[in-house]
Amino acid sequence: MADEHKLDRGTPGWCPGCGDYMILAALKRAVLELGLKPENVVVVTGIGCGSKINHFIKTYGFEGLHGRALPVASGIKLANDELTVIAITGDGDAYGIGGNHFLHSCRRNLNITYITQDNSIYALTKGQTSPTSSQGKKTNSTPFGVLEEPINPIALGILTGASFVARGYSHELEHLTELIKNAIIHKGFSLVNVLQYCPSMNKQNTLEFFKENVEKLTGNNISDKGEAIMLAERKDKLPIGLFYQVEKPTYEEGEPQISETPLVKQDISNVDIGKLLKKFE
Amino acid sequence: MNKFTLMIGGPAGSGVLNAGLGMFAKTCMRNGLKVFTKAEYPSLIRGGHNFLTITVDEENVYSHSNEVNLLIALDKLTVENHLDEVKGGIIYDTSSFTVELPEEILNFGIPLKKIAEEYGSVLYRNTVAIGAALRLIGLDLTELEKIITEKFSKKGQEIVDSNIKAAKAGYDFVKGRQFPFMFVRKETENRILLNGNDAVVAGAVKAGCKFISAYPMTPATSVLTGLASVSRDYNIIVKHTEDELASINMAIGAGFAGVRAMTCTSGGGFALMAEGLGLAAQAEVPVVIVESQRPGPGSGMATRTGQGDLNFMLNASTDEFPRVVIAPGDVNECYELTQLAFNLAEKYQTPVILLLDKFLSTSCSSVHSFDKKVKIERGKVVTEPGENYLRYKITPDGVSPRTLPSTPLGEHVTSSYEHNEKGVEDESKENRVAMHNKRYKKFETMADELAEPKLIGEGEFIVVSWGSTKGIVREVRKIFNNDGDDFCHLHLAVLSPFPKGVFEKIKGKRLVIVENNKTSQLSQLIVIQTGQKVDHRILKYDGRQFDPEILADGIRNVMATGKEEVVC
Repeated sequence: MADEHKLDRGTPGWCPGCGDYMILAALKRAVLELGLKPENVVVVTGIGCGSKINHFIKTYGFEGLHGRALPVASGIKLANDELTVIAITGDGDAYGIGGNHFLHSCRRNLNITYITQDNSIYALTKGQTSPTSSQGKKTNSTPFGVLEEPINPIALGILTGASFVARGYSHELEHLTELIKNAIIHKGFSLVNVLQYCPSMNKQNTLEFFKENVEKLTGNNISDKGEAIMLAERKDKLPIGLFYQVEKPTYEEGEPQISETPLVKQDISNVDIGKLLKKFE
Repeated sequence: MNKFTLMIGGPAGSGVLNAGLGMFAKTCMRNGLKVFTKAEYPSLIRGGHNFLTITVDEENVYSHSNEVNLLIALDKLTVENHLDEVKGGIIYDTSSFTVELPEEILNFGIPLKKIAEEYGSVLYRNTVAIGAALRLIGLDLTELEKIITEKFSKKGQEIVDSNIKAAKAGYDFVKGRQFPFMFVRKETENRILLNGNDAVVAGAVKAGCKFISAYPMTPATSVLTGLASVSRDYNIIVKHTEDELASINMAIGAGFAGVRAMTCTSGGGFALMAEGLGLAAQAEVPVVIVESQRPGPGSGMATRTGQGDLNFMLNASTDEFPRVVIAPGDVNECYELTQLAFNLAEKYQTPVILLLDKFLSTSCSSVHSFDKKVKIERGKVVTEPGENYLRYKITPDGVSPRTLPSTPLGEHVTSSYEHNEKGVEDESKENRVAMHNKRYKKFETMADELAEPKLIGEGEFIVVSWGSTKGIVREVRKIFNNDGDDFCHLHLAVLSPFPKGVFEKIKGKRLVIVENNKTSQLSQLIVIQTGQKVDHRILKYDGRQFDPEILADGIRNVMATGKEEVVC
């Protein structure tokens, strides 16, 4: 097992017991165990408790705007497709304010990994409903209970074209590390939705709740879309593991502009625009 | 001075814009004449009323004219809408409609539809009319035939032949008819005919732009599509994104990773990009944003022109931060200043806004083929940062050395939060002030490097333009000079940082500000930046550009009467 402290940077200030510590540890281990060089990894985040994660892993990081991690990550990948690009955000960032980018990133299938820290609550702003909060849940922005049904990120990811869709649980560290490793290895857009324990703002999804409900997937057929969606829709338990994986061309493979050299390494010192001007003559 | 304006009009979808531009204007240019075209059209795919004016001059021409010397009318509506403007003749389709023309207008009625159908398709109507128009102004069909061959050879020889025959039929139809505007072929130079958006595309490619992410919005769309059309020739990734939020953030991601990246939009899309603009400023990431203005607010008038977004560009997003706002005034400036924009964005690690408008984006000028190259400057990118690298190091010029991902020891977080030199969130009072000052320091450094605007002409009055009104004012000076009169013209191509030397130039002079908005936003800027009084404002905000003849009257009016404000 890798010593994740090799990638330490700074000291996180998350609440004691927060699932973010576990996700950070799993991420560091995954990067180290895959033998990735820190300078070739970019961790892109949005805004939220968990989005501060890139300050605590010694790689390149981009801490952008709420909801916009995926477009930034996509731009980075297209500019330099030799990099390992990992976006990490909370559930509000991913499925609320950034929902449109999520849908289109799934169908775009760039070779990037998206880890969502899904604690079903807005924690940094101290306890409002999120897109994955269960119906009826009382939060300080929904004191009389949430009226909407929650989003199912796994089913949504599968249906909108993500080519690797998994669910992890923050307090199953080794299992989560393996999922993140496989997501990074996967060629295409990989989603790892992490059920995350929040000790401060979510009094419903306690460690006991997760212990009772989380169940590891075994023996499922990851190439069967129908089965994957059925499993994602299960109400009695919260299955964790890889639901669905399919091999298909990535977005960048469709761009001959970068088939040989990443954009960032192409020479721009003397571009001849003669051909472009021809049609204006 | 030999100057002539053709107008061609018809419903959307009838091909008037393509025929006017691709056939008539190009033929004139290739005969050694100078050309300026202006298109007016509603936001429709079919129907409505589209028209294009093509002003042709033996000397340089900088804008359209309000006088129409020859009108080609494909429908009756075109005649009804523009009869008042015609000083010359009308070519109209006698096989589709009848009109009664005043005696002083030369009647060049031609059965355009009938002739076109004889050669195989009603679509050749425009070609018949263009053939006739060329003969009337004394040009032969040699260049047009070449153009038709280039344009249609992909569609087959039959289409080429039919078009040429249709042009010849029109040419023959007006044989022996007299027309007071005659041109002779001049020695041709290496010239190109293109609009502001085309020139931005050329400038971006020349500058080594490798990435554009954008969402279509009139009148900026052709920057996106223009780059898409050459993306594989020049290895540029063009991403039509899900929305403008993605556009700006993707471009910022690409800029952070080290490529020259841009986006384009109009005011409505820019509104969605405002938060991203702030991100680029705070995180100090280079990005070029093209904003082509149209009248608003809200959806406004998609296909009309205006300059109402200046204050928005200067102030968009939260808090205060320096941003570069460059407003090219003509096609040449679109090409050159786009290259400057990429240099400034990378050298100063900052967002740069290129502010155009519909008039500039869609008006074509014949110019010398672009040969001027702006030297590419990529700023402080370090490849060996050493231990203890500081991404946001405070330096005398305000610019910190930047590392690109994949550079060992350069690992850091590029952050939209207020951060210290390391890039770590830091809300201490001292750090906040130091970083805020640092961002402004970069701007002071930049202002020192930028060229001062030039004062052209003579006289007590200084007419000040920004953006696309430049060409109109230049044309007005031609009108004044013809009458043995003159004024000074000051054109401001860079609006932020406010150029040096303006105060000295305008001090004690009488200023006449010309712009396409109601509140004279440039006047506001000049007063704030120089403390000088603005004496006169000539404004137009009906969604159309000033006609030079009308602006000339406006300027004479304020000079004679001392009026503070004239609305055209």
